[in-house]
Amino acid sequence: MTTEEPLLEVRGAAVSYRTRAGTVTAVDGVDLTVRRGEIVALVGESGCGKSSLGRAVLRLEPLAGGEVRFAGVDLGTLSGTPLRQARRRLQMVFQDPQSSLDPRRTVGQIVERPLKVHRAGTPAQRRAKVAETLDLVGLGSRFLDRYPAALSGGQRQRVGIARALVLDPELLVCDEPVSALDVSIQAQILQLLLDLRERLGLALLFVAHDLAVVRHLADRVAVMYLGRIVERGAVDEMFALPRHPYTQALLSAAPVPDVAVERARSVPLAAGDLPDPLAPPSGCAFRTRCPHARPVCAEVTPALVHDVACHRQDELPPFVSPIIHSGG
Amino acid sequence: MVTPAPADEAAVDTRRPLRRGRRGGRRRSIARRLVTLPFLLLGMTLLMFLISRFLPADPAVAFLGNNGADNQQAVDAFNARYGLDRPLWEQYWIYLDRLLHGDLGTSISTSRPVADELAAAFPATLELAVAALLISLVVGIPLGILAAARRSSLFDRLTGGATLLGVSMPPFVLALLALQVLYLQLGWVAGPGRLDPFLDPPPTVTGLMTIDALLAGRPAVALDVLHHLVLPAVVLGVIHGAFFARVVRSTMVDALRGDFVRTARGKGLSGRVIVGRHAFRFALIPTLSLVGLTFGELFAGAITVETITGWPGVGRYMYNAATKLDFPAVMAGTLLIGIAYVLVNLIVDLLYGVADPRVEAS
Amino acid sequence: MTRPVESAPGLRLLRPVSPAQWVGLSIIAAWVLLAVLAPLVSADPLAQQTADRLQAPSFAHPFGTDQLGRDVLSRVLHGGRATLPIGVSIVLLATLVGVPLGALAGFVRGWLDEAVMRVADLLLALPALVLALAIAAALGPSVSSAVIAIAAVMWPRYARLARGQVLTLRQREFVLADRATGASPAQVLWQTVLPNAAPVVTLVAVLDLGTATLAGATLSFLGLGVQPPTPEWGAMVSTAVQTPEAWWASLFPGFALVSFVVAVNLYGQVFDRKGLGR
Repeated sequence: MTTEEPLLEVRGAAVSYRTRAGTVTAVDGVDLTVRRGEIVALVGESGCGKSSLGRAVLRLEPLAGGEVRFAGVDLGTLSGTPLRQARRRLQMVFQDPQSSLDPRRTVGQIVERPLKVHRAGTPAQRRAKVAETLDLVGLGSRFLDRYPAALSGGQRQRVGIARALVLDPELLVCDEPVSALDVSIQAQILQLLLDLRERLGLALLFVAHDLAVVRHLADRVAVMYLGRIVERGAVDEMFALPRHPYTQALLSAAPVPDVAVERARSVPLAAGDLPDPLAPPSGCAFRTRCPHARPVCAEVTPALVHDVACHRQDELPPFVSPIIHSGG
Repeated sequence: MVTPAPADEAAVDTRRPLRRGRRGGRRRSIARRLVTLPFLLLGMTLLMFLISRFLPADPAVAFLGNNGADNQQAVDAFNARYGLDRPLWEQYWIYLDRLLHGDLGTSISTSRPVADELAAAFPATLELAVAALLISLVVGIPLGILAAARRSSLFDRLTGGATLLGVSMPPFVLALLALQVLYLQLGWVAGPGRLDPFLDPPPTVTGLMTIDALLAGRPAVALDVLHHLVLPAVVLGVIHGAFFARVVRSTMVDALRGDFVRTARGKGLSGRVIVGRHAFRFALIPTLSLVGLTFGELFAGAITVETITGWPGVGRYMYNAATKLDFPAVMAGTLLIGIAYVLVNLIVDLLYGVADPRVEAS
Repeated sequence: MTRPVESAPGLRLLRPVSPAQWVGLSIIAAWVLLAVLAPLVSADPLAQQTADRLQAPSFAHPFGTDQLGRDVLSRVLHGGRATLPIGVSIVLLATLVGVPLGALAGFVRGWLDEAVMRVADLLLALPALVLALAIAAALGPSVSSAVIAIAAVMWPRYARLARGQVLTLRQREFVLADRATGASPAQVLWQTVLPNAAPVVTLVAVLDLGTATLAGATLSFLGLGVQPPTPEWGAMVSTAVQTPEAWWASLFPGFALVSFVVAVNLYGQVFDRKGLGR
């Protein structure tokens, strides 16, 4: 992971939607890189544009600006067959394993589908590959003929992961793959993803709304707020010393096992809801919920300086992370 | 094509009155209907033009009949008159021009202008359709309400069976059955025709002979026309009455489950008042919105029913034209029914918009 | 903890659940069986016995004879061999035209959607049977023109249905997932979206069998479908209208038609109530 060319390089990416009420810019000038074998987490509240960015990386949604380079190739220049070929190398795991699996296909057919789409191998080879992949995700071949409706949530998500893995991709975009699952199952799936990285050298772009989920998974984290990255860095540093008020708010929002710390917690950092994305606040988008906002925050949009997009990053009081102090 | 087409509209329509902000929506939709009306009518003429231009192997044969087509002079004249050698859009233009001048072509079987024959037949069909509609509403709405009010009772089940039979009944079979029983066996109704041949028809004012007779002060004639009208009108009325009964029942059942009924119950109103005053209104409105659609079925049903009962309307005219392969007559009749259907629907929707009781209710 | 292997979801929609549905299905099955077996179990429907014209129902002729002295029972049994396949053909043709058009319109959107749906609107704005009559008359009287004419006015129904299904399904995540695997738009539409629309389309098509059969018989009644002397329920009624005193000649084929349509509607009632497929 040194000077090697990044596997995924997103530069100035923008995604916008036209709605009846006007144009929403869901992603606004995001830079992001993922190296081979690296797990990068993209964290933010729902509606912050993290899922849009994840989909735009796979070109499931068009970019309104910027570029996505995969292994040095600008995906935006591809279309038709070359694009579909490129998609073999970057696959996606979806949030809701219930709705992301075709209810009319069996597990075997779902996992075989990408191979068929790419006309890979003979039927016998495909069958072997499907069985192998199902083993890899911890489901045996006995699941081959079952329909998704007959599976539990965790099993479904394993099928979703198997479908993404069967083409031997180099990058997996995981769009909140555990948020629809029971907490007990979440850990299993996260562990599975870590194992897969270990065994296959996979790179992961992991989208989540919860910092706690990515703590033991990611190498690096990027925090998004209203379409922009507000802070990024190595996961340990960010948990130890969150520097953007929004990151601090997210960490405070994480459940704390220690009652004393819970009580001692400072005033809520992020009161209120996400602003209307149709009319985002001027300047720093977070200022409407930020306890440290000053007039300048309404005027100038802060750029990422030392991986933090905050005008007052050098003036903020030191953040006391409840998780660290909890001793757990 | 007897019932399912309106039935799915029903499924959509029944839920509509419970939605908020609907009046504005309806007004907008009426405005849109008015704007699209000319296009719809134009589209219809284009459709008829394309059917008559492209479907028959030889338009000359289709329009002139086999005898006429043997006569080369007649074929040349026909081709020249309709410009069959000119570009397509020009042909369509000629066709439109003729339509606008009231020229619907000449009947092959009678050699008379189709427009005149249709003009004579159309009021009879309208009279039949209106009578059948009245019967269907008078039969269907009370049946549906009673069945819904006594849901799952014996009465409800019997009505359910009878109406299922009704909506499954092809008009021509019921017409035949009615002819057998009511006319041939029991002699309760008058036979074929619209008026006893020994009576003079009243002067045409509205074209609806019952009303014209009353206007002319001749109740005996009106009664005789009515006597002839009963058979076809009852046949079509019963079939569509069954349809209305089913729509009203299902709407009422939905409505009786609704919040406002629970509120009314909470206020201590009796079941009868709730059914009569509240649910009734909610059931009636969607039913009335189906009246326009029903006209299409009535016109279609008229083809066979008028034929069997000898009612001299557009339906019987179309039947005769179809069996004699009188192509110009069939095409013109279809266009007339199509236009009438679109206009009736528009009128019904306009009236429905005016009579919208949601304003009063809120 | 997983439930055992089950059948493909969706087709379960068609499984009868109420007694009324079983009755309907049985009547349908009975008519199909009788139509198939007609040549074995009944007399020649075309054999004329001039001496036995317009005989009332008797032991020899349970349904009587028609104006040419043909056995009405044999003709009713054979009539199903014409009437029922016509209904099925109409629905098949209308589905084969309407579903791909509607699905494509809903998937591609744009001008194609606009064009297909405007044509569909136009066709649905006209009384269906009247338009079918005009088309059949233009094509010339025959079984195939009756089938084509009715399918021509019925396909917009399936186009709308398929379009609506596709518009809903294309929002579903598994369709997005299919695109993400690298499937081409055509693969996504035909292999993933349409199979998921199939159950509802099939259900509606089955329920429409009654309407289609009725329409086909009506065109035959009007002389634009099955031609004499071939027995067909609608055509038989039509011929018998000329001899109203022989009620059996018209009412038995009429009742056969009604019983079949009632059976289809009986079978479909439950779906109607559930609001499925409408």
